[in-house]
Amino acid sequence: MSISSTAFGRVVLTGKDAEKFKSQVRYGRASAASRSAVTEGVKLAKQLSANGSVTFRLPKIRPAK
Amino acid sequence: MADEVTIRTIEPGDKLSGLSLGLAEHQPLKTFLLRDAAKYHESNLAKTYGAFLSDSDTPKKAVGYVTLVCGEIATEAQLQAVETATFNYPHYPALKIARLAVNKNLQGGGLGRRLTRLAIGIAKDEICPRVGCRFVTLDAKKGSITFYEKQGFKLLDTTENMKRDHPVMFLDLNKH
Repeated sequence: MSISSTAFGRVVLTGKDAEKFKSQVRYGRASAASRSAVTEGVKLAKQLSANGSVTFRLPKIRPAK
Repeated sequence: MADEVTIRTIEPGDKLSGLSLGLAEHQPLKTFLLRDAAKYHESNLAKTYGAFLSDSDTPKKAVGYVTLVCGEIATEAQLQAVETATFNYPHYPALKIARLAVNKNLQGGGLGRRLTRLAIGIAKDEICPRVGCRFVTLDAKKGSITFYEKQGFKLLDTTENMKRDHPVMFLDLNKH
């Protein structure tokens, strides 16, 4: 079993890691977290596509230590 | 009081230096933005979306970013048994979050969440309808695993993966 993955490369899985991946995909279900992420992500992507940017407000910036 | 932040693709003239991430282990993220992000962006090797404070002076200074590349998950275990369609190739198309960083004085405020979700949204809303793309993947810093789980990513649950400095995580777009 092995895993090979780099930031700009593909993920390669063999042996038990490949089987576990298959199992997690097969039996995995959408979670509340993933549903929320996809829903908000699609909204952000649509805004980006329509306006060329996404703008929002964050809590006031803290001074860097 | 709140800061207005804009996320968009990086552009010539953006100030990509000065990102402060807090930990020495994050230095490669800062170096990438400064040295490589613009070149990769222009060359279509990797696309970077920068976060900029809306009221900052020109040139706009980046306070966070996410970099995306085409990727794949190659596995000798085909997923045929779980697919409605037979797919006789052990390579599954994916979008990879190659880099993600947020300035330390904005960490915990929701910028990283939005950058991550924007990546997921691009995959789901723009790539999937036009090009085969089944997963979003990333190599997580161990300290960021919980953060990515909150964004819907699953950790490949094997001992080998957990031994890695940057365990592999994935989100299956076909579940949504």
